[in-house]
Amino acid sequence: MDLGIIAYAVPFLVIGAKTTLLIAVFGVGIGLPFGVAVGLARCSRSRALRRLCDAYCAIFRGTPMLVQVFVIYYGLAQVSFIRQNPVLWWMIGDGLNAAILAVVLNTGAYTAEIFRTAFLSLPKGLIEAAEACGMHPWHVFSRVKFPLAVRQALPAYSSEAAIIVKESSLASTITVLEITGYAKRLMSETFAIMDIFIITAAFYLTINVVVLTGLKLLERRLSFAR
Amino acid sequence: MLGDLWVLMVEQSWALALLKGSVVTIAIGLIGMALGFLVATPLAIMRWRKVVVVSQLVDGYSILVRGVPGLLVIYLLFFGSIEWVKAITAAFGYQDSADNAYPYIVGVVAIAVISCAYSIEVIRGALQAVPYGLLEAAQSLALPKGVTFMRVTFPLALRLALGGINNVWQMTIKDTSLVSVVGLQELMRTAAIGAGITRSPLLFYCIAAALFFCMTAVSQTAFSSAERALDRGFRGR
Amino acid sequence: MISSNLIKSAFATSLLLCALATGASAKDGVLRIGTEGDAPKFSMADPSGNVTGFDADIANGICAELKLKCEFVVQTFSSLVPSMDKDRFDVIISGLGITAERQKKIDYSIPYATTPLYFAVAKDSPLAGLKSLAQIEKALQGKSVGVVTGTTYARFMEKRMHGADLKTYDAVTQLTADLASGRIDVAFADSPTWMDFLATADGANFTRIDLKIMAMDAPDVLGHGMGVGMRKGNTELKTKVDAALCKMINDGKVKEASMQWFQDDYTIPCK
Repeated sequence: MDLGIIAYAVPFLVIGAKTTLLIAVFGVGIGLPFGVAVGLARCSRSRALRRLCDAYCAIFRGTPMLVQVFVIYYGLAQVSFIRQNPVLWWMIGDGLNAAILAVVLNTGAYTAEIFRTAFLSLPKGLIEAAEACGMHPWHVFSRVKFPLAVRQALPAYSSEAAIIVKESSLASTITVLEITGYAKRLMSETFAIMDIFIITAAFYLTINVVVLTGLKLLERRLSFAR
Repeated sequence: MLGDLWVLMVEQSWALALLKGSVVTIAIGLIGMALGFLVATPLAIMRWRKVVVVSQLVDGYSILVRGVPGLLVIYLLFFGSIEWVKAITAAFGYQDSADNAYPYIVGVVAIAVISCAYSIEVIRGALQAVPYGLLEAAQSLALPKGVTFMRVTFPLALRLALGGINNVWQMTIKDTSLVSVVGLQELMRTAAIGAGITRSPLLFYCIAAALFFCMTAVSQTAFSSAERALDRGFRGR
Repeated sequence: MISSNLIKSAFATSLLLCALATGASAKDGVLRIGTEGDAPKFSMADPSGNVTGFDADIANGICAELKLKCEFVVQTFSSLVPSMDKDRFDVIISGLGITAERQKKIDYSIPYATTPLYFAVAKDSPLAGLKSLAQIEKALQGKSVGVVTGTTYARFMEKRMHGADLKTYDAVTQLTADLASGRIDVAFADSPTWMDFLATADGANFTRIDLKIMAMDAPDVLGHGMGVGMRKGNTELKTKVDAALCKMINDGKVKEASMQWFQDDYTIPCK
């Protein structure tokens, strides 16, 4: 590999990495609680709520994220009502905001699926015991259901977190200059496609190794001593 | 509007092209997922049993593949191995046919490599989540280890893994769009070409999304019935 | 498991059939051409896999001159160069701009054509009436300007027009969509793009700034026009392709293709 290319590309990719991290932080920070809420709603007793959340998950998990990004950014921009509404236009008018919105909606659907299975797999007896003690439903959730579910969901969620980091690259298709956005510019400029590709991948790998090891340590900490 | 759609889809036969692309997508997705799952199961079991060395290697593989963009996996597999394959096949005189089939093979293998890494994590997570009390119960009945695994641990883990496997499958079927870089015309690539040269990106991408949605809706039904079957004895109070 | 085996064998058979039908191996008497296939007017792959457009005409012309059979391989733009490196095809004909930076990685034929570049803005924009590049550069301060990634003119905006907020798009359709929705103030692209866009309903409120920018105006960034890309050091092929292109340019074949697709002559004379 050409050292000159590495020296030339890395400063640009570092700037891009900040944007990638920003999108990922919002993706986890908003996407996780949102996904948990939807996952809970999908196990709720209200049929309408269940149906609504099932449909949301089916749509966002069933279609490619590239299409979701396109529809949110280019598709909604063709609706004049959205263009004239300042709040809505703030959400999708700017590429970065639209990208964050798309990432949150997408990861929310996958996270909901992960937590739904986790909630379903909880031993019934423990929840019944909590209810029998007269615990408030919120406490049953926060002290019993969630701590137990999170242990089961964590391995799958760590994959999802790594996916968020990688999928944030789709923001480059809507003018956001994150890692992949800069990589595309560099590739077309130098035609050193493989070199730039490998450097770019090293950036994603570094971020994700930190994410995955962090979550692995958390998993170990949370696991019951056996 | 509808007239335009008719011209595009039927007279210029884009509908047929998109269907052909869907077939490639489904074929590569199914084979890649099946292959990945078959390899992932023993690896996940070894990881779960904490077999020395193997378990660390599996961990490294899983972190590496999950950490880098899927596109790189396929780039490295394809462009990294093509010279070897050329040399080997030329030695045996099969160069022509190998050259042509090669992109398909690499495409399937790359998808399998990716889905395998994700499947390992799902299966491992499920194996660990099987309640210990049940295993102790099996032990106290003096069941042999193999029987305990096949009759107790594995069926229970399968139930817990189902949601995650569903997630991996939904991701895998969409990851097939990566194989377009080795020259395969799957659904997303066909849609991209159509979008580019007819200048109707939203139309083509929405049709592609609808086709993907149909595929996942069918598979969702299968997963839901599997879930119901494995849930026997856990529902209701 | 039975059904999955069935699918596998069906797939294997179809692979074999596809392989036989669309063979892309190194053979005598065949010129294998890599092209992107989704660039309107330049390289368009139709649903049945045939490639048409200006690039296809150039390719077919070269094949005719060299008495070879053209075989098109349609791949995404970013995979073209590595694929050619690994001998998946012999040349790339995909409107590649010739620049010094890229010449470190691949060899080029002589340039055969170049498209003029224009800025486009809303009709009521203060920029609409500007006449010189210096005026435009000044007016672009703090304005958002859209270009297509991977083009030489994206590079031109980056290096030459300081102070503008540059937005890069993957495709021309996305660039014009954002110009129409008002997300960007100005867009910069080649003349065929504007010919198409200004004729559509969305483009009715927009206009080109009447200042033609050619590659020769800034060859260090805009390059030297479009050329055929080849593996480094393939001098034998380069000599042949150059001769064929020169003949096509002098015969007026390139002009003919250019007039057919762009209603204008973009030929670069052969020296």
